[in-house]
Amino acid sequence: MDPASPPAFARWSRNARPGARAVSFLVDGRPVEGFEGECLVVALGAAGILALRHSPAAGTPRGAFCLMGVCQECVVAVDGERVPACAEPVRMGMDVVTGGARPPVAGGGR
Amino acid sequence: MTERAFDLVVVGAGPAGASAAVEARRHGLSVAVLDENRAAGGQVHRAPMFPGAAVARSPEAEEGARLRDDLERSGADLFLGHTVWNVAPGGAVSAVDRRGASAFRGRLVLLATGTTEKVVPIPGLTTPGVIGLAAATVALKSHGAAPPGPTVVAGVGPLVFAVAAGILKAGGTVAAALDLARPGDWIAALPSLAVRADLLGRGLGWAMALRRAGVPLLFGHTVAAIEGEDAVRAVFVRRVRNDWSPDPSDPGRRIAAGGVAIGHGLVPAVEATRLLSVPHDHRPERGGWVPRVREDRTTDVPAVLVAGDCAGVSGAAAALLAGRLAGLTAAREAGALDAAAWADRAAPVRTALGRAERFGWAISALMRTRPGLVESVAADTVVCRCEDVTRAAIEGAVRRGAVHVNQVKSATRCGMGPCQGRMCGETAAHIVAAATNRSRAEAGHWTARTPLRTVPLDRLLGAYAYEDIPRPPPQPG
Repeated sequence: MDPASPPAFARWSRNARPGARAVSFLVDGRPVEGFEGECLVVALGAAGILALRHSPAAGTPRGAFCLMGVCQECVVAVDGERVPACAEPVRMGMDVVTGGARPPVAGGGR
Repeated sequence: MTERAFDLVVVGAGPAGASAAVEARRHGLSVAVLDENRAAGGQVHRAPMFPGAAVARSPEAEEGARLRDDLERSGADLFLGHTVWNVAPGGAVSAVDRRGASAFRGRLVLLATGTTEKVVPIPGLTTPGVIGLAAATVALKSHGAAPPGPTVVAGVGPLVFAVAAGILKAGGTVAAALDLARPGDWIAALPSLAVRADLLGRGLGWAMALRRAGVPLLFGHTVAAIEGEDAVRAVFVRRVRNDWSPDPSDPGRRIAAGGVAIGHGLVPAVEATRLLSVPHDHRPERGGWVPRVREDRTTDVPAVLVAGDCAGVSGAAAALLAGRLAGLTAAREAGALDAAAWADRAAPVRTALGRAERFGWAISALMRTRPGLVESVAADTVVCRCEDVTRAAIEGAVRRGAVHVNQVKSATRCGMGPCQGRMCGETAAHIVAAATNRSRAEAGHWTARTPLRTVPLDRLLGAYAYEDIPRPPPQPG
């Protein structure tokens, strides 16, 4: 999925200390930079990628919410496996695919 | 798969679980500690996720490092990154990690599963860029990161100011900090809070840092709605009355924002205690449903101990001490400590625990969700975010005869999504209670079922061939 680019200020931000190694990985086929070992949600968010999927029933855009592996909103596919992005460390060359939900059911929510 | 047996299996490596493990090890018990996170510490002592994370120094961070160190040196077997998906009578604990399934058995099992954060829903809560208040603390403590900004930080109590000040320190921007409570509420609670003057001092420090940075501090205010599609564009804020319902005399105003951090208190995570049939009581002043736990941390279920915030929100200091008490009790139950020795060693811990609990409970009382907040949830607001179930849908089920949350679940799918009802449970029960004119306790709770977390089936099953499946001989005809 390819959300319209959010405003420049709507990004996660972080500084990194010495010891942080910048690595490149793929998100929906496009290269993104992050720090090795950092939280995937933060790396994606710093690149302006906040919407990670759509809710199955109403099809509304969703992104990370609880950052603790509870809400399941940030689930993405990493190297073919569905994982919560909030618990996933960035690795060089990892292949991330967003938008894992089914298209919305006709008629929307209940 | 071999089952690993221990004197004590601890579920949760936060302050309660970790200190229990250390104490039990001191008395020679074999101990296994399981936690789904890669490092011990729970939520309050979240470790930096990677070496280069620019996390700020803080007393909690240092305490967390010490706790992790103590746990490492205790000789307890640590199974971090292990998600417990089932607990069964007889001490069986089932877990899964990246490599596959694992089985544990404890002569004693300690459940120290902590809490989850409750966020009362508002329009636009599901917009990308909106995170929980506890989530914001994880971002600051573990990732050295600030959520999208300018961030509006909202909720009740000191955490709002801690997070807002933390975001500034991490290089982010804060559009406004909103506290549902008013300074008068804090002043009234001062006598019980005074026992932890150090924390009070830090609270003042945060508020001053925000003032210096020109961040508007809005007491007695809430975020009424969040605007934006793929990202947050603005929030709509309103003053609230004493019961936290919107103040009709305030038309409200819009504040431009790029992100929101919002939370309304902690709820004990009691799914595992329910699964083991521990009796529970509904105690709003402790965060909701809490297991019935004796002072020594035993329950009515043999060989099941409970400690920490999952037994009632009491704060980190209390969790640490409750964990120690549970460790001592485990030693006693395992025969490493007689009753007299237990009483002797437990005495100072019980005294300290009482003090710590009083402080924690005073904070919880201040942060307790007042009825107006949930009552004002609009009909078309999504309550169950997994399944997009609105308040109107829940009330529709009630009109058709539902009186219990499990009936609402069957009728609407509320609570059936991947979060297993954790995000919506409190609000759904409150709405059902209000619509049926019954108490929160009567509205009920989700039936506890395995698995405790969503787990990939292929990882549970592992690699196997058809020939591996045991086939009993055919039954006689």
